Amino acid sequence: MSDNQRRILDMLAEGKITAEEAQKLLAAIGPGGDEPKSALPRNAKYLRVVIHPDPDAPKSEDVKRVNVRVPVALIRAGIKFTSLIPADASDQVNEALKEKGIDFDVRNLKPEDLEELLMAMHDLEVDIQNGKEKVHVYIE
Amino acid sequence: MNCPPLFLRLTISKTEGNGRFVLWLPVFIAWLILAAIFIALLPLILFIAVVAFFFGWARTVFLFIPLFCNLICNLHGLEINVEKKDSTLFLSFR
Repeated sequence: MSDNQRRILDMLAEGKITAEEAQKLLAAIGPGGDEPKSALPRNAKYLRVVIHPDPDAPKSEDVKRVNVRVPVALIRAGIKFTSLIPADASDQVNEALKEKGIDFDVRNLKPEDLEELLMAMHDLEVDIQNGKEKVHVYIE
Repeated sequence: MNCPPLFLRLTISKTEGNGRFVLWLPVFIAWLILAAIFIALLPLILFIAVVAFFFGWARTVFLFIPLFCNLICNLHGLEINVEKKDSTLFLSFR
């Protein structure tokens, strides 16, 4: 088992990622996974999130397309900013996330985890289809 | 550290017709005002940090400003584009 595979499984065990995300990440690093496919290249500057209506879904009046380009540096800065969240506020944030169905501890957010995720995401595109919209997340 | 964004480009356009509204907001003025406020309040911030030290909040008080500056400086390149049926909104930090 390679280091990358072990890290992904550790993240899964710690509850940082879901089984589905772990599966996608494992698929992205390949069956061997001995060598990292690529480090985060210097030109990978942005995280792109594109939401567009599903062409197969029934047409609705409020058709919306959203295209957001977030600088990776801004995400890094945001992660560092979360270190200032007081412990009691973190609990409230966690509870609010849980109410939304996201079982995640914001105190687990660390810049090094983000680097790993971004490195994996460079070779990975996430497509989510919920019947109404398609969400496409990728690094560019 | 990156240069903070100087302008916020806001574009609102209508899908039908040729209604297009482009606004370049000079956000660097806001950064200058914030910097001036920070310098003016520096003695107060230092006093609060000293008081907060006894409650274990000094780290938060001291780190807030550099981390906030870091956040602002990295806004450069952020783009949000929302297309609705009849209109489009585009926000971009330049």
